Amino acid sequence: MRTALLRLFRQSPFEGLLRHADYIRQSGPIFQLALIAYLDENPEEFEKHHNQVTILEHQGDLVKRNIRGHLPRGILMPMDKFQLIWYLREQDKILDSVQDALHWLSYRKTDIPDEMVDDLLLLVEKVNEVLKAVHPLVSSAESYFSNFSEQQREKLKQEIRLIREFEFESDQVERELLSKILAYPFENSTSAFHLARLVEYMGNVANHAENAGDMMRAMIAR
Amino acid sequence: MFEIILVLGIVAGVYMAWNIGANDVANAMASAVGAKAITLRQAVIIGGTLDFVGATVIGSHVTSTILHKILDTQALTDPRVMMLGLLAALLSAAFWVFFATWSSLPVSTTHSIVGAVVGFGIIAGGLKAIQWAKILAIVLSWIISPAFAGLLAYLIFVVIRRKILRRPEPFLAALKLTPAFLGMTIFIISVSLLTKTPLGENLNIGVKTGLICSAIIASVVGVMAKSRLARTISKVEEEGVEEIFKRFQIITSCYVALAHGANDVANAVGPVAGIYIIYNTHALTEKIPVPLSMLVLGGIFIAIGVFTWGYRVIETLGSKITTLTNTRGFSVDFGTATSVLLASKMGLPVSTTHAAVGAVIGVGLAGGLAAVDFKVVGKITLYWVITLPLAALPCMVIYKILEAIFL
Repeated sequence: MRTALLRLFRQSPFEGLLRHADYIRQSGPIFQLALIAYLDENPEEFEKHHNQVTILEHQGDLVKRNIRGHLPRGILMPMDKFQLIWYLREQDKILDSVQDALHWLSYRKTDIPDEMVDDLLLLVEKVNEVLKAVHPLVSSAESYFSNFSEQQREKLKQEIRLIREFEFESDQVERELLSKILAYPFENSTSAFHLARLVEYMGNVANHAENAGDMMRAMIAR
Repeated sequence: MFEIILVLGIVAGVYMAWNIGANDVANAMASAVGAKAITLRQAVIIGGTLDFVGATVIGSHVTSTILHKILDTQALTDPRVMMLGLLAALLSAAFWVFFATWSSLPVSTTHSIVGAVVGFGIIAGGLKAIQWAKILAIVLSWIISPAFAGLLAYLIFVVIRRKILRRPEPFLAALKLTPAFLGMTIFIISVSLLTKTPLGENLNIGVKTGLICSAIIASVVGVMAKSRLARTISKVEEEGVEEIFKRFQIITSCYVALAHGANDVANAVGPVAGIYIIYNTHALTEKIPVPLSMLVLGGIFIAIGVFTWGYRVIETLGSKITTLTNTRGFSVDFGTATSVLLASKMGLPVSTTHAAVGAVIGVGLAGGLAAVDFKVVGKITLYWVITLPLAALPCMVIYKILEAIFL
């Protein structure tokens, strides 16, 4: 077979982006279970979920490299390639932050004061909401770049707004929790450091999702 | 001696025609299969049948061109030399096309035959036997035809996006523009069928009458299609738009198949027709008429090529280019076929594949495709540049061997 057309079509970056976003979505409930296991002082269960997230992050990395590998110079796409790579970087950092939070948590067993448990679980909830919101964002973007519909563009903008909203809510809980941690009279200051850093890592999940949303907004700008 | 040359020429011509059907029709039909506008079976039937129709009804102008526009018949007066040269060119092009197919090189049949004929001209009559100014025009058309196809595809997709897809009610917008898009397609198909073709001549239709008739047919079909589409399509919004363009794409697929047959049959039939005329008259005439039987034979073997091997290539390509939705597929098909048919009408042997590549790049530049590799254009250009000497050199060698045997 000799045909020039066969060589013309490259793999759509959205195939990979959707797979990557699916890993992010899968990591949400696992992250939640890991935190609950940590709070329940069940290290085996925690480690099991920690490993699951590590595997997901590794798979996500492979997908990320595959997407980058299929974007050589001279590729024509409906969006700016630099913006797409930047978006991918931010989307990947979401999964990285989930892993970072669990890695950090695994380094030490810290007793979490009862008055912080609810806020921590609320923050986990917010993180999970963010993790769930990424896949619909990518899916809407894929549809938009396929049909350029104004309604689809509006839907996509709504998905971006939703992520911003989640980030704002996550930020509120994060600040509340940090102020409680820093005000609490821990016997060992390492515990305070451990928890404060954990909260920051968890906050990073929403921060990177928001950055990804901002980059998506730039990608669909006219 | 003449009989042997004629038989060998027909065999090589038939092989070239089979190859055009086997490999090149896929480039014309695959976008429609990828966009699911037509099934593989329909693509094979449309490709085979309409390529045949294109070859026999529209094709003759190009066929006579391939010889006249390359060789200066004043410099090559010996009909036996001409006959052997045409056979050498056919064998060389067939060999090169076979090698390219075997090694998956994206080489054009058109470029191979042109390169081979140039090779023969140089070895038999020297550099003066080649009409270099006309060669330059042909080479320029190889650049212009993909660029024009790309420009058309780009413009059509930009219009579709601005005037249809981005509208609040895209389906209604698409319906409103149906007479324009479909009318334009029908108009060009009709013009290509009716003007400067054996069909038009038989019906005594001149250019002016052809244009008027085409405009009337296009307007009637466009308006009728609008009301029919409004009644028959149950989907709305983006899906409805794609459904409308899916129907259009069935027509553009036919259009591409026709253009392909009209343009590419010359690659196989042109030299055979030359050999045949010399065999019959033992002389070179100023203008070589191409017998309809030759075009029919070429058309039949193109169709056989599609039925025997082409379907597999269409299947592979169709599964690869799924990112072409119906709106994109329509833009690509329209750009490709219009460019090829215009070149065909001007008597320029251009490559349908390269026009299709140009059209895909055009839609890609308009931001219509998920990921298209622009660098491929550079590689394809490189291949067509090397095709000329690589088809010309074996032709020279083959000609010398044939000369030693027959002259």
